[in-house]
Amino acid sequence: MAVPRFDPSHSVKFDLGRGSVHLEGTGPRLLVPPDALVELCKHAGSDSLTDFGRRLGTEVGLRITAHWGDSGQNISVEGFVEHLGGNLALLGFGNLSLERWGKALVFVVEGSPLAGQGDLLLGAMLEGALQRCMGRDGRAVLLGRDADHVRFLMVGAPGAEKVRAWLAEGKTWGDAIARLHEGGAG
Amino acid sequence: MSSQDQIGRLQGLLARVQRNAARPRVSAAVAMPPPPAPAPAQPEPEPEPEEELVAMDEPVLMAPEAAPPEPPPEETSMVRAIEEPAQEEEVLIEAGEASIEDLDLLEEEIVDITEAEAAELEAVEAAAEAEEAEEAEEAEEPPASSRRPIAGSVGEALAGAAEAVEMDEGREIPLKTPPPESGPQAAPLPQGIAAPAVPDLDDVREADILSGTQPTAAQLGATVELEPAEPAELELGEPVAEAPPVHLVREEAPLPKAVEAQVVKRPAVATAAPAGAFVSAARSFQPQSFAELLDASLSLGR
Repeated sequence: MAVPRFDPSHSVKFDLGRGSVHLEGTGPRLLVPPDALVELCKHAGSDSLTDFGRRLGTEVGLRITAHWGDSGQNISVEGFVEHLGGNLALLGFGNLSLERWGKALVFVVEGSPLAGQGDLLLGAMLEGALQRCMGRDGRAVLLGRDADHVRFLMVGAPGAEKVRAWLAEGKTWGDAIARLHEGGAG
Repeated sequence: MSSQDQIGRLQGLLARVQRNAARPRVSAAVAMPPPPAPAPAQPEPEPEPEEELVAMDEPVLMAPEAAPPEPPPEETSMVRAIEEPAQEEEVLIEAGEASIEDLDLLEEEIVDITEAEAAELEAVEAAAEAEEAEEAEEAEEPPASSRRPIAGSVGEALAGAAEAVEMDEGREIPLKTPPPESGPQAAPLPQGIAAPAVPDLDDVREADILSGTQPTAAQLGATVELEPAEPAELELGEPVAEAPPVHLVREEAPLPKAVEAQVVKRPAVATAAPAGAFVSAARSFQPQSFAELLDASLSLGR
């Protein structure tokens, strides 16, 4: 069974009489300015922010699986990027793309309104979405970011620790991915 | 007997007859052959004391028109010398080796010729000579396509062959075309291109040969004989030490002449064995699904 394409039609409903915004398949949503959210995240702490982000990711995962049905495990790379990116776009977190460096899977988010202060929140959302859709526990390691792009490497917990250590040593994220493929222990 | 011999003999006979005819004739005693049957008993004329018989090889000369139909009584068939009273000489006309006496002439064949007959005979001989002269002229310049004269007898054929051999000895017999020689045949040059002139090697100076210039195409293949070199003894002296060149930056010891460079060449490459071997290469990863890629990425660093 083929996976249907992402279709955002009639996904958001605004009920001005009730003064509510509804996202398809879920309850009411709240539209808040990103700067206020960023300011909140700065004072929330990393664990609270990570939990907050994973909850947002789980909500995205639920919407994705609602479209896939039982064939979600066999979805292609392009298909997964299409659905995940589409749902993040509905929430207003930017444009998602995927890069593959050898065996390494790298998500790239462009145009996030949270800028650098919301990277931790974005990483947590990706981890929550993959755990909900694919049932894998992975870590989104921030590789780097420029003015408008942020890269997250999806790796296991041991690999995430190594990459963070290499990046802390001053290695570039390219060297870190290469050494990760070599199996070096540090 | 050739016609010339006959002509010569007839001319001699004519001269003798004319000479005899010029003599005064005393009597015209004619010895007539006896008639066959009617008068066998006629008395014989008194015998002539001397008869001069003229030898005649062939009786052809006695042409029918020359012979009178009815010989007068003085005409006889025997030519006898009209003897003069004072002369007792015997005149014999010999023809060839045999005299007329040796010939067994019949009495009918002996004819006496008078002056008129002699004149007629002379006229006939003159006409014959003129005819022969014309024939000789015609024979001198035969047409190119005419046939050779056919010899009348074997003797004439042999005489003609001998004359032909004598004539051939005097002139140059053309040689036959030599047989062709084997070898390449010169191809004709195309129109508008003249064949290069072949230089005469005798005119080539020695300086031109020794000047080192390249021989021309025409000189290729020509043999030039060179004088052998004079034998000379050469003695090798000690080499003169030459000053090192100034432009050399690095001083190098002069290589002894006895030392020869040893060149080690690389052996030929064996085509059977490959020049390089494929050891390993990065395995390309082409995930068929997102789950496969996610698992591969999560497994990194474990």
